[in-house]
Amino acid sequence: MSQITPQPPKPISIFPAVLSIIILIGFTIVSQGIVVFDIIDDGDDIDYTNTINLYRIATLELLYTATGDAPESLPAALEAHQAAYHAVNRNGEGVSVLGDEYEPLDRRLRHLTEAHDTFRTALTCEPQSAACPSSDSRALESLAQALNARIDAFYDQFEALSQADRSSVVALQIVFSGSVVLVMFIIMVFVIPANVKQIQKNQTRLYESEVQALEQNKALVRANRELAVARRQAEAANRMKSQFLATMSHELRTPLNAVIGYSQIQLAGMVGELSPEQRNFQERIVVNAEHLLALINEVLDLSKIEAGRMELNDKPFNLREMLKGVQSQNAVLAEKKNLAFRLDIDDRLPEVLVGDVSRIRQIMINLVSNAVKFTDSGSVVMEAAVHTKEAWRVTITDTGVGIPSHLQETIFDEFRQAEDGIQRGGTGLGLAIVRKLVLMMGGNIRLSSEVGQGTSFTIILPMITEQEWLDSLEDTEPMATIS
Amino acid sequence: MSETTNASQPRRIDWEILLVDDVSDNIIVIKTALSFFGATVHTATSGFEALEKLETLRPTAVLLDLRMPKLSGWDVFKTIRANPALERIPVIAATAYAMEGDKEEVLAAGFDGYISKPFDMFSIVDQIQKIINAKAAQFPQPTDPQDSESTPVP
Repeated sequence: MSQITPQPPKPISIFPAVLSIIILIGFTIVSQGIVVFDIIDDGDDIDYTNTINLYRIATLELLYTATGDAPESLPAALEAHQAAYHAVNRNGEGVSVLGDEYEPLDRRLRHLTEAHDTFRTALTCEPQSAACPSSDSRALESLAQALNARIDAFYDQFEALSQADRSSVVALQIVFSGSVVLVMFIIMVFVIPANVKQIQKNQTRLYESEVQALEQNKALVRANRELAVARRQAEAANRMKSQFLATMSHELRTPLNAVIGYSQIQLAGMVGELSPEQRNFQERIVVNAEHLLALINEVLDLSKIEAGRMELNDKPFNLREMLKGVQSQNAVLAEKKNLAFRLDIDDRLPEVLVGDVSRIRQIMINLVSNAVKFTDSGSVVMEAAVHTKEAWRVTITDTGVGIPSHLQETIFDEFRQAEDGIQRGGTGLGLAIVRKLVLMMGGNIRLSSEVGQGTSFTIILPMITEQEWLDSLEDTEPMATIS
Repeated sequence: MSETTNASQPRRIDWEILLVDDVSDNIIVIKTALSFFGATVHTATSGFEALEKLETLRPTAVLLDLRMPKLSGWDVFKTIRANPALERIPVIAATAYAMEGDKEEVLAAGFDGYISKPFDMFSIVDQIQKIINAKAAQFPQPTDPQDSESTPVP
């Protein structure tokens, strides 16, 4: 038997799964981060032009405001302004940021030109001259301050714009990454543990069923062992039975030997002459002792057949001799009862057949002695004939008491006989042995009977001729003829 | 079994038989019968006693019960057959082991004959005679010195 014991399932470690998810999230964040920074960089790149242009415009504006003069290279400024305008327009955000500070271009330019002129005049005119609208250095200082303020304001605006840009992009990325993380988290916290739990449950169930199977296996092994023990016990019991039978056989025969022996030596006149009554009683002793002996023999025979220890010893035998022997054994009683006792043998039967003659004789004696025993008047006929090409039969017909139909089924069972049989001294085992022997020989037994009319038993046995038997012997043991 | 007749013409036999049986009834009955026909019957009620008697006794035949306590008939038989001085003596198994196959087993073991109990008082003499004759046939009468048989074991 295999000694595999199932191992209880180890709890599934969710560490690898968690680790992989963390790696995934990390990867996502990093990749998203790269994208974020990329976008921010791109934003810088894109916004840079705008910023510069806006800066230029603002600077120009302030310059014009301060000087009241148009720039020296007005076309260039205009160009820059236009580019800035387009850039800002292209980039919608810029519009909203700078808002209403954009005015129609020509008006703006006019203002700028005017402011420039004023500013240049103020810078270039002779102080205290009439042409100088304002030669006051404080006015210039205030103009410079205003310029600085404008620049600061621009920078603040630019910062705000960048900040807004960045934060909106970052927020977007965070939302995106967050949702990815959230999904991962949900997967990690709910889906995977649920699956892990399911797997663990399955594993536990598998383990339990393995344990159960092992238990069943153990139970089977145990049952097997018990069966083997029971079989050994049965075999031992059978051996003991056989031994018991052998012992019983000996133990029962020994005192019977003495009884029969003592009677016989007296009947034989070995110890002096007997009176007629003494002789009669001694004869009764012998008859009863021999009946008891027959009973013992039959019980032992039956037990032997049932224990499967009966073996047939097939040999050639003379059929006519055997049947005549059976007839002569029963002739005395038949004659005493004044019965017609006939033996008919079909000429077509071979003179010599093969079989266990002692057992066949036992069958015939049993049936014929029954027939004689149960027939008070009329006849007992033994008829041997060819049954088929492969079988011969002996039919024993009497005109005796007959067997009631309800007993015909059980008449071959042990200790079953017609009630009359008990009074007539039967053992109740004869027919059981007869049938078992016939079946052992591969033959068959048939019974037909009618109460008051008589009984007919037919024994059908396989026909083996001497030649067939010799041939079969040569086939199996070719050396047999040499010795 | 036999019809009861009296021994009107008892055969005279001059055998010397060693009868071995632990059951005294058997000894009495068989001894009575064989003596009636003229045989000299020596008895032993155990295997040991039988072997003891066989040290000096050379009977015509040994009638040996198989089932005896301590030293069984089988053991006695083996001892007898191991002794060349006793090889010409027929040893007959006399037993109530009359179940089928017992006879074959006994003969296969080398016994010279087998007589099933209960004995038939009127045929036992014939049965024994046959066995004695068969044994004698194994040893031709002219005493040819084929081996050192001329010096029997003391």
